[in-house]
Amino acid sequence: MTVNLLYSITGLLIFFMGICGLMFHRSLVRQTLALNIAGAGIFLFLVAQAYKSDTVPPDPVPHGLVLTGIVIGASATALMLFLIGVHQSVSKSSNDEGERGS
Amino acid sequence: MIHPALLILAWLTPLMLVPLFLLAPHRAWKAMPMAALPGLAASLLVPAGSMVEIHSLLLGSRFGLDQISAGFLFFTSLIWALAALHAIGYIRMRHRSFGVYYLLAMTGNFGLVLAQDMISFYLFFALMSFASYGLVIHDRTTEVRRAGTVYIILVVLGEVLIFSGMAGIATIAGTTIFGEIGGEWVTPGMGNVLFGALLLGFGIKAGALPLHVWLPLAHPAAPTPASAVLSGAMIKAGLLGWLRFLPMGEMALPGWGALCTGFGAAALIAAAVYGCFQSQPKALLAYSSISKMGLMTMAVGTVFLYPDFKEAILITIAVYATHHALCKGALFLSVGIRPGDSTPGPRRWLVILLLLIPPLSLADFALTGGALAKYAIKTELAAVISPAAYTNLSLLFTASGLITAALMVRFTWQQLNTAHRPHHTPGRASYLAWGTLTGVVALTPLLLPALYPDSGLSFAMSGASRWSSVWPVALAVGIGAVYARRVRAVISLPPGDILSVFLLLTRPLRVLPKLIVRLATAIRNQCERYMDLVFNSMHNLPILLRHSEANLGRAAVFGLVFLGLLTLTTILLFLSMGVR
Amino acid sequence: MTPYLVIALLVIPIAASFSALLTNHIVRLASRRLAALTIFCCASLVAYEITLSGEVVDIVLSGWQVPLGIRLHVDGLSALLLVMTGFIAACITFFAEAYFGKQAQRGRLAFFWPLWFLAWTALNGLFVSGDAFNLYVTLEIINLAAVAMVALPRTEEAVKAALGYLVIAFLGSLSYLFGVAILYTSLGTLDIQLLAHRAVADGPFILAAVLMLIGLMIKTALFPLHFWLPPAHASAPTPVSALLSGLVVTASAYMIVRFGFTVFAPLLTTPVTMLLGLLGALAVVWGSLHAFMQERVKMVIAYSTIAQLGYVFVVFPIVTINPDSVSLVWYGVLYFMVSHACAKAAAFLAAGTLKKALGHDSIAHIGGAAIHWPMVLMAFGLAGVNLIGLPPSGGFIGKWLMLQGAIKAGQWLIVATLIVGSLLAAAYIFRVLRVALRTPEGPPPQAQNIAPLAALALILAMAPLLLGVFSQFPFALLAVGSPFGGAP
Repeated sequence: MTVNLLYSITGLLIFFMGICGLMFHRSLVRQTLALNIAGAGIFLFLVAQAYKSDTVPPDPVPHGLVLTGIVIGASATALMLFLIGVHQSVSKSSNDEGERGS
Repeated sequence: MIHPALLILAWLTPLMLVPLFLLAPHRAWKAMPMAALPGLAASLLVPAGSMVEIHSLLLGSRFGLDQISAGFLFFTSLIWALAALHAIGYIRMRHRSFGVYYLLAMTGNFGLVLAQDMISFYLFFALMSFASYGLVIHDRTTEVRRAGTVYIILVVLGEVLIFSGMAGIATIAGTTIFGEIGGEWVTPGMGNVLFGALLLGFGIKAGALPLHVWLPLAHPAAPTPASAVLSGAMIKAGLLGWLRFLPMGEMALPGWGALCTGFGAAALIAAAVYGCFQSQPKALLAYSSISKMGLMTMAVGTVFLYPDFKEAILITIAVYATHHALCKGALFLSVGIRPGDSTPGPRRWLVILLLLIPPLSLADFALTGGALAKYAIKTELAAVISPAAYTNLSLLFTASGLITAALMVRFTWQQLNTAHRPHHTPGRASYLAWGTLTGVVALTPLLLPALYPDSGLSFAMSGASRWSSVWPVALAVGIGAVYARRVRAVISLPPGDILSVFLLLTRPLRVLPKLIVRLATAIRNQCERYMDLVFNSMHNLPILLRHSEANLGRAAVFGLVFLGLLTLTTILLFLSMGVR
Repeated sequence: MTPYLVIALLVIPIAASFSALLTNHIVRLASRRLAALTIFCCASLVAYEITLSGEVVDIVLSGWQVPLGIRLHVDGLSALLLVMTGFIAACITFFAEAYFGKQAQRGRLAFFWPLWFLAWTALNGLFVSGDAFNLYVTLEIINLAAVAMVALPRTEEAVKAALGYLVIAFLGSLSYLFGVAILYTSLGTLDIQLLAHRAVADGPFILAAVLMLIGLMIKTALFPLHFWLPPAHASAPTPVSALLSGLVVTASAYMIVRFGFTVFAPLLTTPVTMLLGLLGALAVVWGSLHAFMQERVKMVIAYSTIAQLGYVFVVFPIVTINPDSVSLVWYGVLYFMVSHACAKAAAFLAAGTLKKALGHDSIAHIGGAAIHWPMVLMAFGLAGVNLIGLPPSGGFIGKWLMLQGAIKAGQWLIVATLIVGSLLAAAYIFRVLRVALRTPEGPPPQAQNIAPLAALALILAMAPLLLGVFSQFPFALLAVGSPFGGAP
């Protein structure tokens, strides 16, 4: 139980660390990473809770949740990185136009 | 089966005509007067006390008629029908929107008269108020738009007041049906707030004294048929709102009664006096409406003072309102009709005769409906109040009669004066509509006793107080005639203009409006200075708001807000749940 | 029959989504029209059958029993929201066809249709799931599809808005997911009904509730976490704006109401509900003030969404102060949400039509629009009637019930907020209408044929009025499986 609790508290800490990272970084890539770290905290928490003891098989439901969560997190990250790329190219081209115009 | 159907068809018919305007505007335009006919039929055919319930509509709607609302429906539908006929000869076809707004407002007005529960009443009342905004701003000039803005602000304010008052009553009384509300909700604290909210909310529509400001602005702004329905039919909706929502005859409410009587009396005299100084005929008529509504406000106040006489006073109010509505409708429709346009001969004399009937009736001349209505209200009050109070009241009535007579003399003078030319020349349909309504006004001494059998009135009573109903008018006209002869030498008015009593009245009082204007300007300047002060301190507010909005979007800020809310809610929960 | 219809509600839109991605143009055109109409019909049938039978429909997928299996749970509330989604989304589908025209056949905009039907699938899924984790999954799919659709125009403004939206939505869903994780480990189930049974107000439960609630508050754009909404909703293409403001925020508001009144009911103590009420009231005032200050019609509507969603939270204190009014508040809030969704979508469609006709939506330059395009402004006006809360709109009925609840509980501050909110709404709606009603300065600009767009906006704008006039049927539907008995 104590090991379990330790993992849970660590998960909680990682989650809040991720959110603090989101707050302190202005770069969008770093913000994406921070959110992923927060997500990892949740997954750690869930996986730790699935463990019962060495003899009893672990609860499969949290594992299912973690897998689904990872898929969704990965999609959101991919979309985010893609949009960051688009954003950079769009703002660069508009800056270029602005420079050419002036 | 036909009766319940008529109760629904009365308001459904104008509503059904709205889509027709989109499909076949020419045909719909011609059919507009017909839309009011089911309402007229309902007012005449459906027996008092009929009721129909539609459970699936809103939160359950009821429509019905009693003697008073049958009378209201009669004059309402008549005025809407004839004003629509007048519009055919008045408004050019390209203004399609006029018809749509007109029909929607008509739906609202009919529906609210028939509604027997608060929510339906409010629905139709709101529909009427908002749709008539479209009627008021029809001409879309700057001045008209300003009038429209004043109107819409007061409408929204009124809607909110009525809505909150109504919600309060419904919660306390536990019902929304008019017959079942009772008077228990008028408790000392909250009840009085609700009472005040409803009194003010409907007072705006009824043109009660401090809230009447939109009337003289909106009436001249609106096209003539719209002014006729605004002043004839729609302001009576405010009155009906009072009668429906406020506890009539349930208990004595001396404070509210005194307030209504006081403000009513003030409106009765002040609005009429002020109206004498109007140059626009429609503004003049608007002030006359405010004055007459003051009298009805007084009567409503009397019910609060003497609840035992509720039935008799209410019938009297209805008689008075019916006469005023028809008369005012005819007066508004007559704006723009000039006897000089018709060929000389009997036809011109007929037009002149018809032009004289509504003003005489409004000035309570003998053998008119006005005399009958005044007789009814006077005898009713004599039976209710103390003799000493009655003497004062007679004095008030005499004064108001004289001023109204002067007001009507001024109006008729403007009508007959060919120098005053309105923009629009009314067509044949307009003449027909106006002539019919004037005919109905002429028949009111017969009509009113038939409409309200419970009032105990008869045609003979319209001639009962012959002397007192003739001399104010005779005096006003006579002085005007004498004075006009003197004036003619100085400013050479066209012959036959004996009705220039207006000049007689303004000369000694001309200082008064100037004084009022100066006073008003001073007050306005003070207000503006104060508003400037407020705005100067406030004009940074939008900047502040925008700035803080932009800041909320920064990651550091929203992260902090997120964590803050998280902590705050958790702490609050732990504390309030007593969890360790 | 009903279970198959519910499954069809999930299968048809996802099939349409794939078909829009894979097949040729003609098939795509036919399939999306057919799909839109079929989904609406299926949803209506589900609602009809549930009203008739008066019984909640529970479907256990592929025979795996709860707690391991996935359960679909369709009560009156779900069915009403399914019909609402079906109607609004079908209207927007036809609108989008006319709006994008040939543009959406190829190029970037071609991705609109697969994303659109994906979002629709997820919305239907959200309303039928009876499981906290499935709600998370569906909510995430909605958000990802929505973000992608916001970014479709690829302008700097749109991409920036999409990024802001994605970051905050990601944060919100992580918060919600953490809540669900704690809930599962402490109560051992994810099924909402079982959770409601097993709920014990201990430490982990409180933490879970707070995390989930705040995650959902972010997605519902409750003040002060609302900043992402106006840029995203206003800069998106019009059909997407209507989807976002009409349906997406309603979905998360629905989750708050669903959880708040059932699973988290033991946690609703006066200080917490007061906090929610306070934030709601601030949202009403803040959103309305900003709506009044905007220079573009779409921004006015977007800020109006923040104000209107505030009402959902304003009435929470009544629940703890006067438990007798809970039923009034429950029905009032739900009715308000449904009518608001229709009205808001209609308002956006009207604004988008105007933008298409004029080439811009700046309020200062729409003078005369009401004369050139009366249908468009009529749609906007009718939507406005609902936003102000005038009868006979459904917004009126909702506000009326909430107001009655507040008066019964003696909460005069809530009464004042509701009334002030109406006044402010009237102010920002008439500010737009007043300019539009001015005499036009010249002939209308030579625009494309906008009649079909205007007609669809108008049809959608009529829906809240019908909801108000025929309130009996939705109330009968809502009463099925309602935790608070029949309609008041």
